[in-house]
Amino acid sequence: MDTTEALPQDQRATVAGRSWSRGDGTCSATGHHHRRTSTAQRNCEGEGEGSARAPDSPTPNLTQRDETGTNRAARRRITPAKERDRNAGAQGTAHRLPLAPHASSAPSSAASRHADAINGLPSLSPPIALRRRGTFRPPPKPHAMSTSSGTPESWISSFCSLLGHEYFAEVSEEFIEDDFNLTGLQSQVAMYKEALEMILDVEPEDDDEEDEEEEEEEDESIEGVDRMRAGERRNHSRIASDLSVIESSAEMLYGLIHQRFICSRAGIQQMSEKYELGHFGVCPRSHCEQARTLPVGLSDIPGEDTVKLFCPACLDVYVPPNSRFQTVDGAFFGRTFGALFLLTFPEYDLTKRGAEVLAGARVSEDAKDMLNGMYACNTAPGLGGNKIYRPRIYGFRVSEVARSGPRMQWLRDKPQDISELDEARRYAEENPDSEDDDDASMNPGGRPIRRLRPRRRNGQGGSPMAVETNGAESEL
Amino acid sequence: MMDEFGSESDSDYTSYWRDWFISSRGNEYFCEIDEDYLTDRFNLTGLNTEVQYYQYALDLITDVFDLDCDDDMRETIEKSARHLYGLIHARYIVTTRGLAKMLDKYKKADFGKCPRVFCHSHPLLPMGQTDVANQKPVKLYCARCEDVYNPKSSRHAAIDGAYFGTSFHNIMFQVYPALLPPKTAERYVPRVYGFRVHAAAALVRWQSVRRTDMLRRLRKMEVESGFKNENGEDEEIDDEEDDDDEDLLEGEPVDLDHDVAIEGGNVNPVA
Repeated sequence: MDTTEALPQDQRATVAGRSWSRGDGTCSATGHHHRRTSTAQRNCEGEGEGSARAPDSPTPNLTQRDETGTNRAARRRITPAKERDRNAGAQGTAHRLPLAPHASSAPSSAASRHADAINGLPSLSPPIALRRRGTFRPPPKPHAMSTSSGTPESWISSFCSLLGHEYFAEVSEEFIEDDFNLTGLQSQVAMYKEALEMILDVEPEDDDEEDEEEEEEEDESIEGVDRMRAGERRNHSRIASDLSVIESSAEMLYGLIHQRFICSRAGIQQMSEKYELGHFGVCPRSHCEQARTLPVGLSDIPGEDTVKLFCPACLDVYVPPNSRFQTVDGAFFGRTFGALFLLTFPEYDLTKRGAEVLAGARVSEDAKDMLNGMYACNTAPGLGGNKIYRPRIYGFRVSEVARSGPRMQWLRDKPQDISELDEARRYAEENPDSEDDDDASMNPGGRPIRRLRPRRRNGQGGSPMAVETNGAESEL
Repeated sequence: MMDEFGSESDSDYTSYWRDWFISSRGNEYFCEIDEDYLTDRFNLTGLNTEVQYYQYALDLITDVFDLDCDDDMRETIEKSARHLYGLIHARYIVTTRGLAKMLDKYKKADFGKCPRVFCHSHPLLPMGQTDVANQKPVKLYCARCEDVYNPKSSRHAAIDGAYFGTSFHNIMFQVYPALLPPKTAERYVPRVYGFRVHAAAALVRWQSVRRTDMLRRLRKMEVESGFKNENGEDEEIDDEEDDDDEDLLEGEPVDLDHDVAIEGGNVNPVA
């Protein structure tokens, strides 16, 4: 729900005018957004600017505004109003969309932004003016690895450095700025627009296109003082609670974007770096011998369960050992990531431990037998054989017939001959006369790989088309 | 009786050594051994060869230590006493009284809770992987998933597993069968956008067959399986909506169509 849309006119102005009380409110609320503190300073100086917004003034292509509630979307000419398949959105679609070139916004480079952040100077109206809502900042270049690209004080990096947020990757702004990636999130997050602004450290000073011309001062006078005052007045009364609402909305929104991001190419790559660095901890199961785990959710819907750790060695999920992760929503990682990670990086040798993972242990050449689309040696290496606990009393095994005998060994079992799991081959062997188009794939070595490539290409070449079709449809 | 000793317990002369020992940090897994048990020499058979300064250490444990010696010596004896206490502990906790004490601790989840999500925080029991001292650290056993886990805290991970032994936790459930938690087939199935991943799903199916076989065997022998739903009908809610295990139990052909065959190629998902 777009809250702004629901508000009466003057309140919306308030939301807009929020900009200058935003900083201090944040400080009291959370105290970890350094950048916004400086933002506040600047805004105090450029107060007029902050209010120089015409929340409702029409824009050329505002046709979709009613459906979407943001003209951000309108400007991008991408309509998230039509609920697309979220999954598709999450699936590495970051840059498929033909983005409208923002020639005018070119000067607002990230460099100038950084300069602001660093100086924290209360001057600089030009950068503010350039920091337009609709366009945001075009990133200077795609920086997939925002860990290294270092905007040290951005909301995102401060969020990710909070205690308990160690599992989070830093979603690249590029990914967030692509509306397609945010499809459908509007209805899930309260104060969506404000939350998004907060995540991107964007000043909420204006609501639409007028800032394209850099005459905000004039706009202000045009806007009329009344509304400004109204906004100001309200700021005092509601800003504190407002901010904490926005703050929590921003965290929710970031989490939901994160769920999608870590399934995209850049995101999963970043997560693999964190995996190699051991950020996600190890499996508590004794026989898994410190196998590295991956953060997963058991639900894609926020508020249902906290984050869990998926162990690729025993294919089970565990509660993180530290209680600080018990406040992290599992939906921020989602159900897909864990399994997708293993499919994306089949080369990780899951039998290796500790330092060897650090060294980026890969499946060795002689162990590259394929089974069911994975390397056979990577199929639940923590299970089966002597990796099952067999209860004993004074050295004697407890019988299955005993009331207290073992009942759960199947859970940790694995066929001794792993090829038993090749169901298709076994089926073909048992039913030799069935249609044989799968016979070729029986060769466990080469073919699956060959098959993988075309599919991937499909995934990337095919979908943008689908997206465009969707967009066209919804614009009609 | 009460004497001068107290390296760490200096400040608190009123507490017995054992009190101090079990209440000190890192020793939460231990229960207090009865005086009676300690003073019965039969219970300590063979331990005198395991422990240096056996007699002094035993005196220390039973609070009758009154040797005047230097600090190094005292420390050595202190260390021996801790070791001896652990070894006696392993014997004590399989006695009736010991089991009862450990049961109390189990009920309070003093040993922690199972980290496995589908065990729903079931309390754990400490266990050793060997009965020989100084070989393997203590592990934690979950009766619900019947698996063994590492203690969360490093100070527990340093405790010798032989202080609990390989049998204790199994004897516990033989003596108190009512404590046996109900078993479920609830489990995690890795999925990508809702589709099971073929490699993992194939293993899950194989495991389900094993479980069904076991349930069938038990039913034939008329042994209680401990599963919530006796008849082998699968009761579990697979945490997801659809459940192929049911099909397996009915002996129906396995439905492969839901698996992602991203790399597999073995399954034809469009068939």
